[in-house]
Amino acid sequence: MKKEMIQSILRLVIALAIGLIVSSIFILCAGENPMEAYAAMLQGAFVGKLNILTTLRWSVPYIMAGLASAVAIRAGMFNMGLEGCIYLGGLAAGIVGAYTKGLPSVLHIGLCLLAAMLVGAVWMYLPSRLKAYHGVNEVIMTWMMSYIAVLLCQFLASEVFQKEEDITSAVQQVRTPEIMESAKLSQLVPPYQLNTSFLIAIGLCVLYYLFANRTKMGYEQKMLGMAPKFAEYGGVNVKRMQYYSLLFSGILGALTGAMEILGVHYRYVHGFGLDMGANGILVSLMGRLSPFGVPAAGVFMGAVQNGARAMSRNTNVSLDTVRILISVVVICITAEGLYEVLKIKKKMREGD
Amino acid sequence: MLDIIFSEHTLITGLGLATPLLFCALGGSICSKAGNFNIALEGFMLIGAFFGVVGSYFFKSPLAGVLLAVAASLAASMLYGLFLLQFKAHEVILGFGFNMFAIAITGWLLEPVFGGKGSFYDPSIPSLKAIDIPVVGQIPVLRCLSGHNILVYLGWASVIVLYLLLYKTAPGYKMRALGENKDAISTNGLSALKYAYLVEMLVGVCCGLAGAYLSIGGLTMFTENMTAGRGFIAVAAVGFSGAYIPLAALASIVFGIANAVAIQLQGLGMPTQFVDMIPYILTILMLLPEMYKHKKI
Amino acid sequence: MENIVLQLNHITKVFPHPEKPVVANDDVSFELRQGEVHALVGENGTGKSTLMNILYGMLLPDEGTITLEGERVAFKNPRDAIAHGIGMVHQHFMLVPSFSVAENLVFTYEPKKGIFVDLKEAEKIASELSETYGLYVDPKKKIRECTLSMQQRVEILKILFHGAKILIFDEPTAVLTPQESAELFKAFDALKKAGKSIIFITHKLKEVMAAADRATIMRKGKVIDAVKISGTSMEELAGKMIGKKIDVTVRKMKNTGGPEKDRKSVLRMEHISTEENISGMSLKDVTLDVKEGEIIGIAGIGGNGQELIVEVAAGLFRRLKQGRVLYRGEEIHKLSPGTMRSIGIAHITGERYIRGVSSQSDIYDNMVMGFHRKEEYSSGMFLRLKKLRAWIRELVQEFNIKTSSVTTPIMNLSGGNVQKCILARELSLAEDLIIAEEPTRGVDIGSIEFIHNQLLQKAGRGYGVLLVSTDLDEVLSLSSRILVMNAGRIIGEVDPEEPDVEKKIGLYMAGVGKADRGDRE
Repeated sequence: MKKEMIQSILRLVIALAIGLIVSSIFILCAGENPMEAYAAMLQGAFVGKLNILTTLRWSVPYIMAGLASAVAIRAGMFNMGLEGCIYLGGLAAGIVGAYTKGLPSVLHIGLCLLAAMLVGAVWMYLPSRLKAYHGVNEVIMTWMMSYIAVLLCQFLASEVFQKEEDITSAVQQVRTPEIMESAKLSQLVPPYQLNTSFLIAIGLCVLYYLFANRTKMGYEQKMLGMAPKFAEYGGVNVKRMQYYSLLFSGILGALTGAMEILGVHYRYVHGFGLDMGANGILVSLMGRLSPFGVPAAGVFMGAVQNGARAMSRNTNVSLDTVRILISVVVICITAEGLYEVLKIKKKMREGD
Repeated sequence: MLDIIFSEHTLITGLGLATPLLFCALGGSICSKAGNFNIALEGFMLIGAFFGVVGSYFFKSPLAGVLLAVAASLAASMLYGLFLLQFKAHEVILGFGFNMFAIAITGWLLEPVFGGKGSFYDPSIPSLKAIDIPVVGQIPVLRCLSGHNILVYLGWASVIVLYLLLYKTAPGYKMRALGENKDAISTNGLSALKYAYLVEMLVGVCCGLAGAYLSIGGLTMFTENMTAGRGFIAVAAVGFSGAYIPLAALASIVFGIANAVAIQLQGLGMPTQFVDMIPYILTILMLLPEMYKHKKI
Repeated sequence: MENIVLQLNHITKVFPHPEKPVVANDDVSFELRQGEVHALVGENGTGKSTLMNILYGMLLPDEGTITLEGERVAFKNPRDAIAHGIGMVHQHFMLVPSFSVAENLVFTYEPKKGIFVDLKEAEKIASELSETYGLYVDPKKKIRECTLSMQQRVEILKILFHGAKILIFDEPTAVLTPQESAELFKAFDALKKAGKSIIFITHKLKEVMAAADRATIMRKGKVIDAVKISGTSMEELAGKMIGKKIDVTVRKMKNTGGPEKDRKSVLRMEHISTEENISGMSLKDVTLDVKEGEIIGIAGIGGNGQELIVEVAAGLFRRLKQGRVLYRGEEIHKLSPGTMRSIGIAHITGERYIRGVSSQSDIYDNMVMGFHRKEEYSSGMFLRLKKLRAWIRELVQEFNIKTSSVTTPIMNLSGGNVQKCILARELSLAEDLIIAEEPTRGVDIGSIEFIHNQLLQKAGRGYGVLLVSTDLDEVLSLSSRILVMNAGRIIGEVDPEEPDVEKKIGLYMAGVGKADRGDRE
């Protein structure tokens, strides 16, 4: 076990190193010093109270989206439509938050989250059902659904729920009215953006740990993802497991969006979840679907995103450079042969 | 109202919309026959689209644009092949990563190359010219087949060429064997890997042409993530047709026309978001016949 | 001195492995004479295939040389070997299912007309070769529609088309009926007359005696001896193969249950017909009955519907057109595999690495499957991890699975030990029915004996056992009754004790003889 852990961490480090080397080339092309750029990034992510708290604030959606993706991948499927779920969840929470009045805060927040989860479940119902019971390819299905969801949210937010004054105002943003005070998640260290959604995310990680390592369903899900034929033969209800895994992935995705809206934006702002789905998938892969790995990778991703903003503010390096970094890591992260080329395996063998 | 929707104009638009899909579906079919579920078509196409504009802009020639688009997409597909075949990366995750990479790198390049953000449009850059086919251009309805640019005709020709390549020539036999029994190649002492790379090369060229059509086929422009899921539509078309080239081609063309019809709905007051959704909904519909195949298992 | 065409001299091949490297061939020397059938005999995993893969250019030897017709050669790849007149019929056929016979025959050596493959010419080549060697094939038929024996003939013709002078056959009879095997051996004679030399890899000694002129016996990567068949006996060969004297006569099980009439039915299939599965096979009116304490053997060439019987019985295939499956009198054919398992049906699968284990997981995760649902090892939705771990350790000891810990990845175990893991899990899960599919395929002799004893013991204790195996000897030695399958039907039933039973089964396997189950004994 220990050896495997070291190996998987080492692989992650290699994938990151390759990503950093590739993005260094692009930084050099932009006429900047990569070392300085990365230093700016590190500083922006970790130095000072503001930066640390902002990194943690950004880690929340990535941990959440990472969990959402992990739940599907653990059962051997990909929810490529996480982004759509995030938008829908955000919109649902934003609307319930804005239009329900007079509820105590806990209830109101609960209602918003519930509405988001419900919308996520309804949205993922069709792809989950079609994948599990009819074998329709979920990768393309969910990806297409994601496009549709984003367009739908844009339509609903701009044509149905947008307030007159927002259309005419200078904000130039598709957004819904602000949510009630009672629906807002409170900040942990005011006035910083970090809020109680961080605690919810950590709580969900604990639940995920219990589910994955301690329950019958968790064991069956793991076996299904690793060897579907074995699971079927061993009596796992494959279809039901696939169905619920994908459905839950959607629910967690919607929850991600809802927490962003209730905790940070206080209203649905179109475009708030840009790249969050894709980055969530990467977080789940980097965290190797583990209940400890996913939050760690989520914090890492939060630091990268937060640091990247600082970097693009202080240097001439654009945010696309970070996207390049991330995509290179995705490309390298499953490339087994790459590590053989780099003789990682051999060294590990000689080492023990 | 119906005559607006089902006009010759719609047909012409449809054939145009079908072209990038057609190229991608051809590439995807070859991949699929060779046992590679390739979802990176989207990324290859986006890279092709970007470099199509670059070529056309810097060399003042749309042909140079097409060539550069093909070269760039080819480079991307070979890199994909390297990671898939030699580094044994996970097919879906790799494809996903490549699509992200394509968006990131084209977004990054946009600024230094064209000095703008988000999109680039310059009416002075030459785009591919429409070519009229003599006689056909005079016949009603059939004249819709005329007046397209060279890539559209190339697309139709590719259907035949690639079909013959895959089903009638020795390399085609090997490419199809890849997907069914790789060892049949290696036990005869040939390198299966070589043919797998050949497949990736073909898909690179196809997607490059698709990308070129998008960016310099009509207006010369590039916008961030302008492929907007067309690669996935092609993947769905491949699945729909069982990767049989003539059927995949037909599916793409029907899809293009259906999409053109749908676009007419905008004129009838349908909100833009819903019109934009139509291709994705059509794609999902194309996935559904898989249900019947699945029943066999 | 007869003319020696091929010599392998002092071949050594070591496969690297993190814990202990495997010496597949240890200073192996081998001689093939012109025009002989030379059997290469040994148990599974003794390095026969490695040696032949070296000869065929698929592997490079670490040490040693190859001399072909007096000249030293080195093959970098199979194409080299083919060019030197060496051809190999692999155990798993190297054919492309959607291609026709002719297309497969000329594959990678296609005749061309311009840039296109000349299909007419290919078909002509196929029918000419077919005629020359008396091996019947239909050039236009798609491989996926051909029987396994025709596929094998295509493979033979293919290497003859390549111009092979030395033909290597890797376990060629595994997919054939006894009669088809006899046909193949006749074809060997014809090939010998045409001046070809044949190497024939097998572990079935009967076939060695029947078909070979000489034999080289291998054990644990070494050559033990090379003998002339006319001067040896099966017992002697077996002794050399295993390293100790063993009894090669077939052991019969003794039924220790109560009198036959009082035995209750455990599993009963009534007139089962199914829809086609993915490879186009379906069951047609299958009826069978497994009683307590019985081992019912199902014989037949692989792919004649046996796997469907197993899948139907285990709930993995539920698209029945008619009929019903009864377990202790209750209908179960609509139940899911999960429910089937919870009522105590155990299934030792034939698809060991696809279904039997999760190959990326460790021993523990592989063996927990099934127990995790039992009340003993769970409370509510949670698992009782400590108890489970202790139980798995106990099982590993009881079944003598050789491993340092239960967290070892399952793929680090030998084939025999993997099978023991499956066996340990399934036999302990079983309540009164065991479906055993190819329980000993690819397993070393020591483990085979262990596995057979386990099955016999369970039957002795009143379990019903449905044994599906393509190894006729296994079915004959364990079963109390044998059903033979052909093309999705049960074509006949035989008693393993009756005279000429093998011949009868062979005919049934080939589809000869109607389903005359009514008028037996």
